[in-house]
Amino acid sequence: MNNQTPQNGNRRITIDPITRLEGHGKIDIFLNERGDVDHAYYQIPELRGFETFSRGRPAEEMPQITSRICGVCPTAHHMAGTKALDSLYHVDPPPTAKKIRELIYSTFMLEDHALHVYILGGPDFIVGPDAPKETRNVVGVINTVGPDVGRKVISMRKRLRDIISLLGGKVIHPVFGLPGGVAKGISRDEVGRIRDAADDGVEFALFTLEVFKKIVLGNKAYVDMITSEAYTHRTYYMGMVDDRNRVNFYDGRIRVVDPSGKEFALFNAASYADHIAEHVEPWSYVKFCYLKQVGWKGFTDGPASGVYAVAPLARLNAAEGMATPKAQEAYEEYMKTLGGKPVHFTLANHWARIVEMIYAAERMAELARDPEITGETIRVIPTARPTSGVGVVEAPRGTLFHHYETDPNGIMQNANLIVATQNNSARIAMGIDKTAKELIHAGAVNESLLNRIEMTFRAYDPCNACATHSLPGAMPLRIRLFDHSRCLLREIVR
Amino acid sequence: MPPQGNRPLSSPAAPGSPPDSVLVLGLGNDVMGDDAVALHVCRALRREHLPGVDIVESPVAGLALLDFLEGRDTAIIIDSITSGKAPPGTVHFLQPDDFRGKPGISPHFVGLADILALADRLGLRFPHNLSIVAVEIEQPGGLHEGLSGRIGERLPRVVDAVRSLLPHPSSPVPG
Repeated sequence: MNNQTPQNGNRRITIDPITRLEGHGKIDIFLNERGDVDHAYYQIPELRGFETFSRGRPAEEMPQITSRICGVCPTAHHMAGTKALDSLYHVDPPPTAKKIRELIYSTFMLEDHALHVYILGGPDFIVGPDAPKETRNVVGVINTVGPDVGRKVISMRKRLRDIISLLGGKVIHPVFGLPGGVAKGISRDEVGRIRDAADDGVEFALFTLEVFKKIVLGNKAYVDMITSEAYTHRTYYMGMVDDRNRVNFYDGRIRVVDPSGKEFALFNAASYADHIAEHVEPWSYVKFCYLKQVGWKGFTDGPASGVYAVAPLARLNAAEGMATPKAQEAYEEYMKTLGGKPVHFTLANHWARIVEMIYAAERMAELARDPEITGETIRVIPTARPTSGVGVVEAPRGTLFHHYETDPNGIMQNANLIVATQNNSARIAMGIDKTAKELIHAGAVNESLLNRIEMTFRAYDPCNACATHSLPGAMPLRIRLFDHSRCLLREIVR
Repeated sequence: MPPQGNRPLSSPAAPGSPPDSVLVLGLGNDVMGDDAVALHVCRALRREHLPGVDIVESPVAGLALLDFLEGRDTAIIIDSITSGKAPPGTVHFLQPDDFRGKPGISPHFVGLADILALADRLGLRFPHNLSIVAVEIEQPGGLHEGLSGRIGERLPRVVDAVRSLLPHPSSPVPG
């Protein structure tokens, strides 16, 4: 950290790199004359050129291409793209193919959520928001939970990735999805290994819940922070549900509940454009999604504002429960402890993520025991003429839409992607602004306060990743603090 | 980080370790222009059929690096870098020590420093010979395939640089 006193007398502090979330973003905080926050802006760069890049390519390439956009959740893009191709070619995959897809997808969700709980979000809660920054990292997490737990996390993650490789071809650029089915079936020899990993996954997820309860819920200061007004927004919530309105990551209808928890909309992926609209602000490239039937009323919450959220907190709010027994127990405990549905506390996303880990693992275990999982009919060959197709999945970070339009030869004419973080962008922006206003007063800013502002958006696990890979590993998060005359007071690049 | 001297890796592996192939790990994204430079280096090296060299391409970073590095004795990581402190095409030679000591300032990204610290803390078998070759690029813009002219022209030099770090520099095998 460098403290410099420029000639104009303002204190300017520069903290050199490096931190990263999965992706990169910028937070600008403007103070008024009293040193209180006038406004805080959260910005993420737009992924440019996707439509142009996809135009003229065969639609079958899209699940591979889109999985390359994002180095963070390639499986989610691959799956949404594959489902968009089903829709484009008007083909319904056979039951075995759907189950194999869901098995791979559940494995991916468990692995990705575990990564966030222990590695990306862990420093905030497991190590602690006010801990010295030298300890707020993955090693700090290991030191808190112990090396045995660390080895358990690493080992579980590796086994899950091995299963994705076994079933999906590649962890990073999956190739299993084809319009109408999957490229490869599962042999009876392979099932045992998957079942064992799934059972251990259930145990691991339940263990994670215990870790969370002990470290986070056992600490009143944490609980007070989770439930504090600074981290609360009463918005609409969106998530995919099955035919009994229970959370489903792979397939189902999209359900939206209002800020009181009442069902507001229930629709199929194909009609997403009737429900979601995008608002543009002059200060951001990001298009802020809102509910079309409510309308854009600015960055504000309540039933009159069309701002909505996706991701674990939103999924649990948008559903009536979980489809597996232990996850349902965890869901009930979560709702009861946090005052009932809907839960409006942004930081509860971390807990909701663990409930979803349990569901993902239990669903894996169920599918691994399903006799149809080793079926031999894994694909229906498409014969219809392609036109337009929409695919949707619940990515770890929220609802992900892929919409493709082609000519009669299946050559891409248009593509539209709504990624999870875009759905959440208005609420994240509101969260940053609100947290900054609640925590910064009279110009008093310290490392811990800025970390708590970052915590707001880390709770969403926002993925702005365009998957560039340059060292030191990513583009940074940049927080800039300006005084009332727009003079830069402080910049933190992480 | 400033460019460092070209330091060939020591060899052979630690006493008692089985003879091990050298991992050359190229990191980058094929649809993000120059970000893919390391992947192109890997492809060029693969055409040389170097004995005892295991060439792997990957678009990931973070914890996934564990999958590649764990159990290895010797590895060279190739990546792009956007330090902004050197002209595009500059080859930086880095060592793990250049990354060590930095996990404290990267609380929420699992970078190379964190991976090294994690492996150390958990007692994982990790390369004791690890070098990083980073190619300076400009910040990638939108999605597109292929390298820019400037980086493309420098590619043979980067390939030479990586080859020079191999413990037993070998002549390319024709074919």
